[in-house]
Amino acid sequence: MTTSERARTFFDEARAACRCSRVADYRLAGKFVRIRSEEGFESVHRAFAHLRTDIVVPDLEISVSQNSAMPSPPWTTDDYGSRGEIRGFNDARFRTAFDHLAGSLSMLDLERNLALFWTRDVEALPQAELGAPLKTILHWWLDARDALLVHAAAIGVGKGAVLLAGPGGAGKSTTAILCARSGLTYLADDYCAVDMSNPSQVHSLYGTGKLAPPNSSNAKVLLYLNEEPAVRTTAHLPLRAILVPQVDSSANETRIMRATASAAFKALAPSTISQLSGAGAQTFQRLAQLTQTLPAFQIALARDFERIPEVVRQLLDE
Amino acid sequence: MPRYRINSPKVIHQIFETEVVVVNLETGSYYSVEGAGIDIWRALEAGGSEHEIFEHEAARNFLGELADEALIVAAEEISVPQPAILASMPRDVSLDPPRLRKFTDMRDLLLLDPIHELDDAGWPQRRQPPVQA
Repeated sequence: MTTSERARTFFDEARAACRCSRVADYRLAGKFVRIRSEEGFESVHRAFAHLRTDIVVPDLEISVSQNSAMPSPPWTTDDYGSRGEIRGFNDARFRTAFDHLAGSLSMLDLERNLALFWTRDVEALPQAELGAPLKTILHWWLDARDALLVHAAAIGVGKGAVLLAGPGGAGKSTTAILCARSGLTYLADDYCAVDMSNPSQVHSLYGTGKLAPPNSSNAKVLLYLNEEPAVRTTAHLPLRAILVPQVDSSANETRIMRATASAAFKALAPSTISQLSGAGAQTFQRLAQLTQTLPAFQIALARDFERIPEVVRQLLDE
Repeated sequence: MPRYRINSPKVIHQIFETEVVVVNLETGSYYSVEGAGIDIWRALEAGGSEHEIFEHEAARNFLGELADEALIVAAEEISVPQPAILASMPRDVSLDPPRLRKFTDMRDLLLLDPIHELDDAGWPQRRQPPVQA
């Protein structure tokens, strides 16, 4: 049996076990995506709610399930790769991966544009998954359509947006959410899509964000910024620059400085590649192309955090 | 001296003017190659591990560092260097020695341990996230 035959057999059996009762359509990265879910997946629809639309024929249909009737996996423990990919169930047509932290399976049939997300218990999904639902499926599908899922925040004004790039703790979320609550347009906290065929557009995928409570060492709280009346969201904006935040608690004033393309690339590429199953040389080259065509800046985040939105706005208004 | 090649596809890289950024997809570590290391990496990419740059001890030591990190491996085939690439190497190994910086902050995001435990239906038990330092 070929890889595609093996994958299709399991995929069709798994999809047939789904008992989806809710259907909603969204416009994601310029494409029409239909999400059919079982009960209990309200969090998925909330994350995409600002991109809700009505369509007749979707470009992609995703079934979302926690059904205990899911068939047993036809692969062994030796078949799990380091980023969750399942050996023997990935080829030009099918993508299959298991997220070990989320305890979830993602499968995509690129020929029929059908996908499946399954988890044993939606209540046990970690915050990272709730904040960026279905990201593995969207990464694979958009990658085949000349678009790129990027681990970055994005914030903007009418003229355009910046990507905020960097590893956890760099200040991406704090900067993005502070800017969103100060009147800038919010596109992303953790993941967004960049259209490589029109390389200057950044697309919002999730209306979520994560923020640590002030003056607290507690874990970050998941927010639905797309539900806050004062926060402005949009589907996409022209992409103007890459901004690399870095906390500088010794400084009195937040400031922006030019950065090199390689600094922007190091802020974007390793975290994007590490967290997206199947991302490799092509993703790497696309990220390099992005950093070599967009201007890059570093924003040193000082103690005057209330000025951060004004500093970002000044950069965007130039 | 042994011949080397870049350890692709496990290792991917991007060359910039001031550094080469290298990612090891298997370990999750990523690296910055600087100084004359940029030209050494370009020579390796062009298949020229017998180029005169490798007559320098610093360059040979640097190859050892790259091999220790599994970024390069022994090359079984003899490949012909591309003269145009190897001719344009302005860096003096003694004045701007090769440097390799390693970053491991992404490693925890990868599954470095194999799956051990399955539930009754054959699905992996949910893995706990790594403890942050």
